[in-house]
Amino acid sequence: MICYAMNWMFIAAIPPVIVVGYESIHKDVYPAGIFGKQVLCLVVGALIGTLSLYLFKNLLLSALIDMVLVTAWIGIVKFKLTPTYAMSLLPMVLPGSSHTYFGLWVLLMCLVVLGFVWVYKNIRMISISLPGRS
Amino acid sequence: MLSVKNWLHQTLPAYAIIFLMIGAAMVFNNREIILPEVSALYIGCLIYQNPAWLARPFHLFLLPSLTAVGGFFINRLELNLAVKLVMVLVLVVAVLILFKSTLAPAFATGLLPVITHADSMMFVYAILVLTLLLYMSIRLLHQHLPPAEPIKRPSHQHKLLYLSFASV
Repeated sequence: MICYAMNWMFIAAIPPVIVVGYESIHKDVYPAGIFGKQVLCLVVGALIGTLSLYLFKNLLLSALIDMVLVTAWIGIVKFKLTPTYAMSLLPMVLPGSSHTYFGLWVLLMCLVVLGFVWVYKNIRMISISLPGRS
Repeated sequence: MLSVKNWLHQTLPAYAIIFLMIGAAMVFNNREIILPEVSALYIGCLIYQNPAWLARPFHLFLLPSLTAVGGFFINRLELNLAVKLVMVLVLVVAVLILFKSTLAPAFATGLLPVITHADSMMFVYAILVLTLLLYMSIRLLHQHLPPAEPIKRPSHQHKLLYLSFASV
């Protein structure tokens, strides 16, 4: 409904975010720490991708920078989230003009989609642990 | 020695393909060849060796290709963008249920053509060639595949719920 209501925000469905959300909803547990790290990884990946594309007009060079920086970032936060790589390459293929706010959209989408998954998972967990509930 | 061998077998092929992909996009002057999710698949399979993905390598070729081709043709329909995105999500979930898989990157390859308005056949060729290469490289480089572990029956309830939310 959000997507219908804000039709202008056509960039809303950012593939890597959907992918991470889908992976997370199949996990048995989904603690807040993982949620936070996922958001952090994806947003930083998006920023790396946007900046490297902006600074180096050459696609190959900016991809090289993307790969190095994303690998370093994943090493720093010790969280293997492969869609981060996809996220850093995504600005290259998006239709122009939307680059400036890309990081912001990603942050927003992450919070909405992954936040939903988190709430859903944890509500389920609470309702399971409640005794005497038929 | 072992790490050098690992590097040759895992890291180098993955990055080589990614740079080839981007190089091809520059040579043909066509950005639709760049498929971000394919790079994630390569790195996830060859470097991080995600066991769930490696268990059924042929799916790595089949499912992303199917959803990408589906997304490509859905994108050609004269419809509202939101409607197209929902159609793609339904398609991907249908494909995943059909093949009893949880290969999440199939979502990205399905959504990509709609979001980038891919309209040249180059996109389709690129996804077919790149995922086929991934399948073959796994076959070549990993003789000892992890056994196809009994897959936890993915609950469709989760899928449908996620689908309804994501389309929202």
